[in-house]
Amino acid sequence: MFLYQRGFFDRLGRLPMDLLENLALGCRVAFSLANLLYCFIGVFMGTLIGVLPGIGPAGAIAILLPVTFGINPTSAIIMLAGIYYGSQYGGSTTSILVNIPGEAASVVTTLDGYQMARQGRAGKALGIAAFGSFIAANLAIIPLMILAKPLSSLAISFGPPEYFSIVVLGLSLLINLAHGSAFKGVIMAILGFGLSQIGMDMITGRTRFTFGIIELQGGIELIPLVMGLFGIGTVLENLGTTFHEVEVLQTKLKGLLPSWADWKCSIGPILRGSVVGFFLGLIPGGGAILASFASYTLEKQISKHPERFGTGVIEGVAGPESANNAGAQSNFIPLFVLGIPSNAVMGLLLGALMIHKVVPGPFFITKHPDIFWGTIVSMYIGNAMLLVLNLPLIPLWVKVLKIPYRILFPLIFLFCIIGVYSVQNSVFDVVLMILFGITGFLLKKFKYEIAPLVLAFILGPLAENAFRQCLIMSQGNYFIFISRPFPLIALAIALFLFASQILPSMRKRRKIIAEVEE
Amino acid sequence: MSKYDRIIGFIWFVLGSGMAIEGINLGLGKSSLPGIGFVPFLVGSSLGVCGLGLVLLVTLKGKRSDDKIWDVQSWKNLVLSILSLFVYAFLMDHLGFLLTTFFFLFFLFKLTASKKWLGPLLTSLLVTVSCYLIFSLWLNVSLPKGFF
Repeated sequence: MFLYQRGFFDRLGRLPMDLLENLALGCRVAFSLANLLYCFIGVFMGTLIGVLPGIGPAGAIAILLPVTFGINPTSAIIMLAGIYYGSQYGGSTTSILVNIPGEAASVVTTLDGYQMARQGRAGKALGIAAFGSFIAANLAIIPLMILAKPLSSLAISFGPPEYFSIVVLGLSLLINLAHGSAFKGVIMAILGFGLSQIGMDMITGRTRFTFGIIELQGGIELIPLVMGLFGIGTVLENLGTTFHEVEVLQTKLKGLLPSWADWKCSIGPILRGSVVGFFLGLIPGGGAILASFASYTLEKQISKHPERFGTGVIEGVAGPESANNAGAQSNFIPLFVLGIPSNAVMGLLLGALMIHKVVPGPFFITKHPDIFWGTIVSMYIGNAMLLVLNLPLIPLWVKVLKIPYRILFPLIFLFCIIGVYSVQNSVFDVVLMILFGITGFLLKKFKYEIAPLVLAFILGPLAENAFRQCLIMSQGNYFIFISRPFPLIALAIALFLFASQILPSMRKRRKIIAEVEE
Repeated sequence: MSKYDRIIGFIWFVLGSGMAIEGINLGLGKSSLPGIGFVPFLVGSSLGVCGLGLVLLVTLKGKRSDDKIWDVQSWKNLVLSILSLFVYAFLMDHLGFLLTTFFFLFFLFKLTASKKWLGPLLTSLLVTVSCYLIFSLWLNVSLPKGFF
């Protein structure tokens, strides 16, 4: 009776028609010649970036961001989104053929993918990675379409306690699931919050921690931080080693289309990876990287022969590659529906939307249906393009992989500098990027994870704003943080995740993962 | 935990304490109306406590002798690359994109291919001109003009 009065069944009944209408709008937007071209450029660049270790999708988006200033926001987001999920496809190629992950979400693919290549099964590994990614991405887009509008309606009722609890949950999840020391992860998150304090306070307009430097009054920009830590920092780390020519496994790439037996082994991991990746991508801090690790861990745990993982089992490629693509799609939900970026890439996309005067959040879908549905449909198109691109173009990617690193690294430096300089024409930002690069290099040397720092930096202003508003609303009563169901559950889960770090089994798991990484 | 974690823990403690003190100077406000120094104070205190915790952990658990951290096989490449980045940043506005990029790339290509001259020279020229054409002329990205 209650649901009937609220019009629940009425809305449920209209759902299929609403969905069809919105998809029709999305098709009109995405199938325009210009947007098809931008989608192609995005997925091609994304695959290229995924193949080349060093820049990563965040770096590529930061470099190409200024290019989008002159185009409409829909085309900009379609292209930039294409770079993100395109890089997930490209990263698997280097993981399998060279044993070097092209980007972070493909780290686990090296464990079994490269072993498969050594056994003459590189084609099968590449094929299942591409098909698994395609299936998972398409599966993840369906709930994205269905859930976005109801979640937007729910998000309208969100207030400061909900936003604060989401940030805490996201960070605790990231720290919990990431490899390396959880304690150091917490330190990185706190440092990220600290860096976000620099500049003007959003509520009072007064400046903090600027030390008289005018350029810091607006705070530290995201692009120099991300390019410095991930781009420059990674190159500096590689520069410290002796250059070896990349040894691409000399193997004939045959049998790219998986056989019936391959599908039989892989379909379970693909479907499970899709679910794991989708749900992890929903939470800030989750996403492609964590999804791939979580999927690999899951497949190993439920396998009848876990000891075979790491020796070249197809499940070790199918699961993680599916999960990282599913996570890359569902990452868009927190951004579009709540206006909360889940990771550095989403943070940059948020920046791109703001530059185009588009504000993501609960009213985004109703105010900008063309951008939302155009991006959704372009994801289908982009994933189809990627399936077509990746397999036949593997010889091209192999040639790209053979470019010596001594030629690549100056180019990476140059593109990072161009990307940072072009945003504000500021040499200060370039210097800041270099300093963050040195910091990133040192942090990695001392085994600190960068991801919690970046996420905390991105979410810091939102968290602080929400925290202070909560206290103002409650007149200083801290119980406001647990007075509503959603924040109570979210904070309870976060507390559980933190507490679980002291469990012996959890510490053993982290130790094993750290050893695998080394 | 490595032996350097104790030093780094101390650095976090100092940074955190500084932030917390500055937070107090900015004004903590009241619980019902937090001042702009309230959150920095919380963040700084947390960082300081974690730093102290790290120092204690290393002291109690003992340190692994981990010399791998400084196992950098080419300090020369690393240091010279960092210096070249700073020089490039400081000169780019004055000399312009074309000139600084050409010399920057030439230096880095030469750094890792010490005996050859022609290859690095031609590659630097080609990349500089290509980047200028692609980014500045085609994509309308604003690059420093210098005195050109």
